[in-house]
Amino acid sequence: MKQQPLGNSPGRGTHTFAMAGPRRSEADQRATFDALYQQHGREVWSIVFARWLNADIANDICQETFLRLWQQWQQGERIRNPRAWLIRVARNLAEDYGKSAFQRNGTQEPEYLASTLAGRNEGPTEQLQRQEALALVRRFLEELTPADREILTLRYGLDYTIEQIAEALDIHVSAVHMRLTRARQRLAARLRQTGEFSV
Amino acid sequence: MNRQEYLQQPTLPGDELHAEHWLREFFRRLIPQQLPPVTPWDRKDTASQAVAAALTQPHSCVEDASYQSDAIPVQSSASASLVSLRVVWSRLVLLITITLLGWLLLLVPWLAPKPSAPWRLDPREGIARDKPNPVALPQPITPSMR
Repeated sequence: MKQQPLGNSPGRGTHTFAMAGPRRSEADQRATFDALYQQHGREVWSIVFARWLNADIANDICQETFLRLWQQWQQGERIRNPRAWLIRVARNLAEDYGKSAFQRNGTQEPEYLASTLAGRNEGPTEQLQRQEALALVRRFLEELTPADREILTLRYGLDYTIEQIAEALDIHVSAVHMRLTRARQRLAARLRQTGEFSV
Repeated sequence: MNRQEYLQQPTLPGDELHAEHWLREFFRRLIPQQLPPVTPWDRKDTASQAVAAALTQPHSCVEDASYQSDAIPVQSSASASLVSLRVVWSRLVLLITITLLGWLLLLVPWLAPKPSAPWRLDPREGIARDKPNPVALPQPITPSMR
């Protein structure tokens, strides 16, 4: 059974673990699992984060997604494209979270945000200005559709190219380009309306 | 402007570059560089070890402070079961109601129809009572009028 070396770019790892399955030994499975987590963990995390803009939820769902992958392997399921499988399961779990009682009963606005978004070596005025701008970015992101947020997260959070985003989300390159341009223009307009923020 | 300068100049308008900067800044601060490790085999092993230990060792009344149980507390599990019981009952009631309504819809067309007033075919017999000035009907042509 031949295993290809891991690629650094997210796109190249798509079919790396095509033969990962029940026939492999436990040690091999663990190594493959670790490699998959290293390679696609942040990607899966970011996709869930894009859905809810909440790091705690993203942590939980990301872990749950990888645990399910492991369970599938333990049950002898063969997953031909683990990356696509992980993204699909993460999206489904994120959607299910929206339907859960926990979400319906209301969750608190994450309080860590202000401290996370504050710069360390800045004066109070710069810090306030930065926090305002980033809060505006957050509000703007909340107004977008989850699909648009996914694209922006992959582009600006993980520095993916447009082709890599199209491959990860299984959509056309022109759609990615169009959504990115539209979102950027809207945010630019919002920032212009709100006032000047120094770069 | 030489070729190098041309290639290096930003292709986006200033405002959009500004927006791009803030988007990068936002995600840079919120997306972690390193995720916490996930080791499902360790979870399985510790769970099975805990079960094995619980089965083999005699029960001790002294609590081990270092042991942190993953089990749901009894109180919360009891309230959770109560909630689930209510959900089951409400679903059952809803199902029964829907079934009864369905039967009713099926049976109503077969019930005996209520007697209704016969339709008057001759318009001269009836005059609408809510009309103050009824239009006079044309007189029937009699042999004397010819």
